[in-house]
Amino acid sequence: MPNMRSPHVLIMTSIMVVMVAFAVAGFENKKQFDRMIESRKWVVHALEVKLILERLKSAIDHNDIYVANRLTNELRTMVVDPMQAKRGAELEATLPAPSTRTETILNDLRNAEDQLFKRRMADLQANAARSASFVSAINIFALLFQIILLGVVWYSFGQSNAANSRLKALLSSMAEGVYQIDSYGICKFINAAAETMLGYSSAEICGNNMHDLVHHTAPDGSHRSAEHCLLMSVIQTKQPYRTSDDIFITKQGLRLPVEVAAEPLVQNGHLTGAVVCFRDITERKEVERRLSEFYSTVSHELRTPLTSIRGAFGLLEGGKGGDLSPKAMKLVSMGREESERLVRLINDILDIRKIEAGKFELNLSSTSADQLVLKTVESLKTLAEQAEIHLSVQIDAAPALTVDTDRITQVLTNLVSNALKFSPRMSEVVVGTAWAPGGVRFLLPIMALE
Amino acid sequence: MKMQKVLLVDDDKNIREVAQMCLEDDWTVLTASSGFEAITVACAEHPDLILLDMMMPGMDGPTTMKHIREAGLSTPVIFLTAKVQTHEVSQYEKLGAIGLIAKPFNPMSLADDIRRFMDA
Repeated sequence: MPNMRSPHVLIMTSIMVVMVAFAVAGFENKKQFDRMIESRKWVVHALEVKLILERLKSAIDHNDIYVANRLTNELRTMVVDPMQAKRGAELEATLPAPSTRTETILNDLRNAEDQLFKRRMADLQANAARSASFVSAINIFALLFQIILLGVVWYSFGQSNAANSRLKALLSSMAEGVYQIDSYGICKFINAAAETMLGYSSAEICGNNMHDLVHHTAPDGSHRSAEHCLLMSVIQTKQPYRTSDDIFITKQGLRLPVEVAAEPLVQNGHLTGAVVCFRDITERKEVERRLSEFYSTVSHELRTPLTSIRGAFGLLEGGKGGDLSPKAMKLVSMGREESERLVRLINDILDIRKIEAGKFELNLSSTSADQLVLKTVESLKTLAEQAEIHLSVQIDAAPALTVDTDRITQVLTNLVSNALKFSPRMSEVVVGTAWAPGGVRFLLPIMALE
Repeated sequence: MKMQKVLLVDDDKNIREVAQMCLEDDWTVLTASSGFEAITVACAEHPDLILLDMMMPGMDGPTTMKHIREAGLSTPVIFLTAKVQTHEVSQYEKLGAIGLIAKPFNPMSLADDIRRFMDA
């Protein structure tokens, strides 16, 4: 049976052989390399000279003697290409009065041209000899390239190993649970936090359908099929899904309240499954439960004495305690009305709490716009009489509506009672309906009567 | 004609007195201040209706009702509750009651409200 380490030994041996071969070949070909590099230098020089010539032209055009002088000095130190020297001469010819400085430049350029020509000739002669050994040089380059490639692969293999272990360490030290499912919903990976929260070990859970194992029961206790599971739907819809109120069932069969986010997993442009991240929200649920209990208790504790107070005033008002003087009746009515107001305030507080907790539900039923207005006005007649305000109705539209009658009436009552409270005596408050684009509009004009 | 008997169960004395005054013209009103007392009175007096507070210390309304049923009485029950906003309110039918009256109730219409539930 072959040793597990043999591939590594093989690779290392081949690298060493290749390196030795390269060293020997490199030594033999060093001179040819030197010459090749020397010829490349010309290209660089030519570019530099071209640049300086352009700047020189600009300096001459602008009569900037100082810069022209500096550039000329620079040019003197450089070897110049014959073509560029020629261009320099052409530039010179365009100038109206050649200065001695530019003549010096031209001389220098011509000298450079001679030099370059001689070097080129020498290069051409050397080329014939070089081409013979060029093939072997290419081979060496190819080998060198392979070694570099191998090195890069070796290095990145080490790097990706390091990245993998970093990723693993990161996932296992996360407080949130993370698991990965494939496109069939089968668990492919689960992190330490998820193992702890769900009570399964990675070995127990990987390879299982996550929905069937931990997500088969809805928060209301009913069975949840995989077809209707929004977490599983991520695999089909490719759309992320998140919810702040869900449950998982642990290995022990306990309900674990969780906040869940599922993201589609796309690799190389293909959907390969989903990554699910979840958080234990037991504490949050407990706080919510206690808060809800607190409101419920406060409401109960306030309502109990209010029941007696309202009952007592109501009975007195109804004559159960015998006849009352007008003054006493007025006081009793005041007590009864205010106790009713307190009840409404408590209801409002509970409503606000419900809205905040996202548990406010509308009780929809069919009615018509005119009925809503008539009901509101009827309940506020006494208030209008007391405020000496004429309260009237004007119905121009009476479509059928599907609304939460109690809530809409509550809104209308608030608006109309405010209108009554803050309008001057002897004014008229009209509650009406009118057709509006796409529906009905409730109107509340207030008119001061002369 | 002999008046029907209603058993009024609430742990709050004032509420018992107010409700009694509301109903005494139409019914013979019996009262109990706890679940235990309610079971005893119900078994002894066989009332025609029980007005039962849902939340009481010791034994709550639904448990009291359960014991009354176990004692063989099928007396109709109307729950009284101050927790009008909680979801348990909608469960009164499931518990077997014929109706639910929210506190604070309107003293002048209490008798009518009860009759409506009994006729339904």
